[in-house]
Amino acid sequence: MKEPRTSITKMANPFDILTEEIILAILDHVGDDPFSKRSFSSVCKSFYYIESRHRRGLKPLRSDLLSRTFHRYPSISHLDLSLCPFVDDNALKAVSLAWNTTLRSINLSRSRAFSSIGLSSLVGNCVGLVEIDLSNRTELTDSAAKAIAEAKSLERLSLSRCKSITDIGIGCVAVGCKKLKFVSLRWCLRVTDLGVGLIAMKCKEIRSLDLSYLLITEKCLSHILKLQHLEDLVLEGCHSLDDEGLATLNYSSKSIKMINLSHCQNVSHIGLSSLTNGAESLKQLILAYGPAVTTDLAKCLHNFSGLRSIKLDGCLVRSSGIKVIGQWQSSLEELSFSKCKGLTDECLSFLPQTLKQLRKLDITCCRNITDASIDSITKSCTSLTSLKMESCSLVSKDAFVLIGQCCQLLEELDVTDNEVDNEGLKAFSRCSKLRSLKLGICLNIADDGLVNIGNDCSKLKEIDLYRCSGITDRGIAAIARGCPALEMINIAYNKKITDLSLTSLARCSSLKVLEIRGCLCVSSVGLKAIARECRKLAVLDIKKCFNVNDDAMLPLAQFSQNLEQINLSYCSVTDVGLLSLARINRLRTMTLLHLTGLTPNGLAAALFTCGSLTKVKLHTSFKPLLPQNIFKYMEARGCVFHWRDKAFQVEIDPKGWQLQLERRPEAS
Amino acid sequence: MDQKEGLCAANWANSSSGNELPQQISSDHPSYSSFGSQQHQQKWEEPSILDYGIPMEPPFREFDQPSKIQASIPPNPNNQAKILDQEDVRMHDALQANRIQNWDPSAMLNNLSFLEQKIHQLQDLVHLIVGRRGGVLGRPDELVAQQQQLITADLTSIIAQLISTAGSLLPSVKNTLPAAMPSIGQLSQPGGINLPTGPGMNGGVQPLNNGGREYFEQSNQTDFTAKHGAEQNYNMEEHESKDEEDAEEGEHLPPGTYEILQLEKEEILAPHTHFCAICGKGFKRDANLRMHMRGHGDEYKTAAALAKPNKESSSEPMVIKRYSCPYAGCKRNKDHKKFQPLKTILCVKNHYKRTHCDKSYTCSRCHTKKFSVIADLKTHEKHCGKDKWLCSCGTTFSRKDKLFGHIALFQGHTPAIPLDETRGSAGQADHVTGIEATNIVTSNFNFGSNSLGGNIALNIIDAKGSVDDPITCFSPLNFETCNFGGFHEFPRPPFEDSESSFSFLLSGSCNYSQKTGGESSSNDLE
Repeated sequence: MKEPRTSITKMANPFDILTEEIILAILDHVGDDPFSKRSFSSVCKSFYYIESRHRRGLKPLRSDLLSRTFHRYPSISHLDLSLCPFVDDNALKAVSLAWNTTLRSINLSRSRAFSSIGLSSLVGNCVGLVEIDLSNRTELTDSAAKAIAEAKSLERLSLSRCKSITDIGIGCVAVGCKKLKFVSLRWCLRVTDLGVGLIAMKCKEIRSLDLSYLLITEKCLSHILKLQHLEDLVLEGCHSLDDEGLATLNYSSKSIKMINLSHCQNVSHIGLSSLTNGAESLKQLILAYGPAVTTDLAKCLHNFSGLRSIKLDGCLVRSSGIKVIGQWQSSLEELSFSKCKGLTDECLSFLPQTLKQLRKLDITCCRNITDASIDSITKSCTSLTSLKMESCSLVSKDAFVLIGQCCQLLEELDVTDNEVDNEGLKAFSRCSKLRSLKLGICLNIADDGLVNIGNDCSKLKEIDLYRCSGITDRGIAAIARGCPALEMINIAYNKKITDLSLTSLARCSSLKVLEIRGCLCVSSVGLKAIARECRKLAVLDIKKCFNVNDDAMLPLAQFSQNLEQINLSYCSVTDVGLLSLARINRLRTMTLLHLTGLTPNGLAAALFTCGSLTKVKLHTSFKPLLPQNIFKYMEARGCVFHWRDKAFQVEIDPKGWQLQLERRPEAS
Repeated sequence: MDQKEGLCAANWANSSSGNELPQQISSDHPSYSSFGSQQHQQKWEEPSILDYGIPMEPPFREFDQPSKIQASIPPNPNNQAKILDQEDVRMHDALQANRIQNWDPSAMLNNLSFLEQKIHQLQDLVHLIVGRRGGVLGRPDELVAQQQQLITADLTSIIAQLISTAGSLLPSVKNTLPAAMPSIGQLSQPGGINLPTGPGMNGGVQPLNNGGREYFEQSNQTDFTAKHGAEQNYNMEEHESKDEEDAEEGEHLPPGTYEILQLEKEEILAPHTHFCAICGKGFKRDANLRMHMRGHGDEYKTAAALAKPNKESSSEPMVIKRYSCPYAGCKRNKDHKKFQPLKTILCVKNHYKRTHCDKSYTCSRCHTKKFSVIADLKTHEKHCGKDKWLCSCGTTFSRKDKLFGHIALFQGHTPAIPLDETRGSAGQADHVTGIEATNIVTSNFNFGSNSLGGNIALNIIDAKGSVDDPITCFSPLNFETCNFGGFHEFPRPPFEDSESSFSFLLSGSCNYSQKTGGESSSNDLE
């Protein structure tokens, strides 16, 4: 017995025969999946060594451990600190010194506690920095912007919601960072025409500009439209833009590809036509919650033969306008009418003749359309890959059969809250490429339909069966068996679901999101099976699963090391279960309402233990009971408390869903 | 003695505020013919403050400071008004003309009735003070001073509102309001500083007289810069924007329809243009010469001799005169291809000095800016140090857009961040004071002293800066929450300018409350 072992140890590592080039080539093919990289590096020392040198991107869980990675990963170019809520100036300085030659991109959008001093050392040391994301840093002031301005090679900059930065700061950036290509100034409310105008004048390379919710006018747009390379322009919610102002624009951007004018209440087709005048390469236009879709609006876009996508969500639609759209020269690939008022069968009947190329269609909540529309859509748009038609309540069950038969290229289908039945599901099963299927509140479906889906849609990754009261363990088992790639499943509020469903779902090893809220028959047994097998589980919602107790928490804590988010409200979990969960070092969000077995001391201990928490939802009654210093401590770690004061609801269906649903067949 | 004076003063203030102001506000001056043009209105708006201010006596003595500033900013286009009375008339005309165009009667009525209400409150207050005067006779001067401050502050705020009300009538609120508002700030600022140090009431009258005189002289000196253009109000400080040229831009007299005169260099640079035929003394103005002539004998004292000589000639058809700059190659020289004539001799003088002479006057504060026209220097010195928009090259600007224009023009220049990087937190502090101030105003008018203008400014900055949710930012709710009964229609300055001009204003009102607010609020009206 001993001999072979010694010979193995004597023998050189079998992987040593692979040259470093080969290993690097293998690593290149491993891709970005963190799990595969982890297993790769645990093969042997040399693999570990090579992987750590090969690693370019890093997304650390905690900033206090950051210093240990400096030595291990010497060539990090992309650093994502969005999981670290607490990053101070010293940490930034250390980062900048460790990776001063390699760092190209840094994401600080969720990190607090640093100031312009840290930024200044970061920018000063990492000369090659190309991308900085400083979104949500509302406390950053102009001096921070001035620090950024020293990054001469910066190309991407996001300052979304940096509400304290003014024109002065933006002016510094505009003068300093000449190579900027992608700029987001969304919600920078103190930035006006002057700052935006200057950035457009100084940074000639800009490709993409997000100016949403700024109080800007046409004064700065005239400079923006002169940018030679501008492709994307987002002007969402710019309320001070109006037709009169836009009419004064003399310049047109030939390079622009995408314009987003959502929520611009004061811009009608007149303003739109002045803005798009001469925009030869326009591909996408987003006018959500904007002007009414009239003949004039449709006519002013008539000549854009390159237009591929138009989104009219929430607009008032006139059939005359849609008629003109139907006559457009362009062949649209994407069309969105989500929540449009006034979209009727007549409107849609104008469209499909010219929309043979359509790939994506969104008619969510268009409650006036009937089978006639579906009929014409299925006839013309046979190459649809995405169809969203939540709550199209007048569409009958036969129409869904038609969809399944005609649109077999569908990858994404949302029929939430519709009349679809087993026959419909059987037809859907023809769509073998289906990735996402949403069947929430479809009361007519049952296990037979799901069996068909399970048999044929092997690529399914997401399925939503929220409140589908007809389904049982048999249907879930069929899905679990037939869709090994399943990543997300929602079976909330299905009374007939038991532990058997969970044990069958345990075979879907890539499951990431599991929602079994209000499944009264589920117990710890089923959850244990999930915990053992689904090691990638990240989001778990077991609210109101009264039978789940500490027995399930222990295996979860042991095996589901990737758990990030958990909702334990109303469960029978006690201090012991919670404390064991606190060991999961990725856990960020916890919702802990009405846990009868939870004591303040146990909660406090769990909170202290769980170092990665960023958001905890608790009942207000705990506030005075917890030791007061815990709040300061947690806050310093970057955790936010949300206090709720909801009354305890014993019944599973407080809003009378079941009643509503039972009445519906009678009404129809 | 002091108290007696003070009593008079209080009465004065009472009567003047109680009676005169409402009259001026409520009566619509229908009898005045409107000869003021748009430009006049804008320019005369500020002088109106001091016209009200001067008759109002001691509480307003601090106005001598702003009066200088104001007088120098608004130039008189016709180069005539040298007597206060005339100005008064004109001011009324301006107000009258304001009303004619673009006015919202209901809003105006709202404002006026609110003003009336406020004045009545103030009147009651003064009555109260007068009533208690007997009781407090033995009290120290401090109390008297405080009460005066109280009244001063209240009057200031009334005036601020009155101006804003008038300002709302102007065609472009955008230009006028920022121009008008700082003046309010200036009004209230020195108030707090001057009053406590003032040597009682006896001394109080003296500064007033000075102020009046100073104003008079100042207007004499400055109104020769006669020009139009609303931007004048801002631009005086930046001399590169030569006002006379701006003004000419719009005028396109066909060549030959006017007579071209060209003065020689020596003539232009001569300090005096009017010389006494008897003693040879030189004067800058003909009016001064005529005054001087009285000393040479009774024949010069007749009304005819003292009257303006060109009064009679105005009835005859006048040949239009235009002037040429003697500097060869200048655009203003008559030999230039694109000759643009200058309108008056004063234009010639200023143009020649600014364009073709050395800048020999250096600012005594910053020691960097240089000027060739002394009036330009004086205007600059008033703003010097207050320019908050700074470029990395050291140039300062009073307006943000000017700074950005400068940065857009030059490579490598960046906006400089002011040393006190506390503007964000300062904004929040202001927010608090804003609420306090409004509370005070609404409670009992005790300490509306922080001036209504200040409140408005605070509200606006508030809306712009510290409100996180953009929806509330856009909604008028924000204004309403910090509002004063029935004053919703109060003109709101546009966002862009508000920041610059109002933070200036803020500093004024803050100072004020620091200096006086503490002691007087503890005292209250007990």
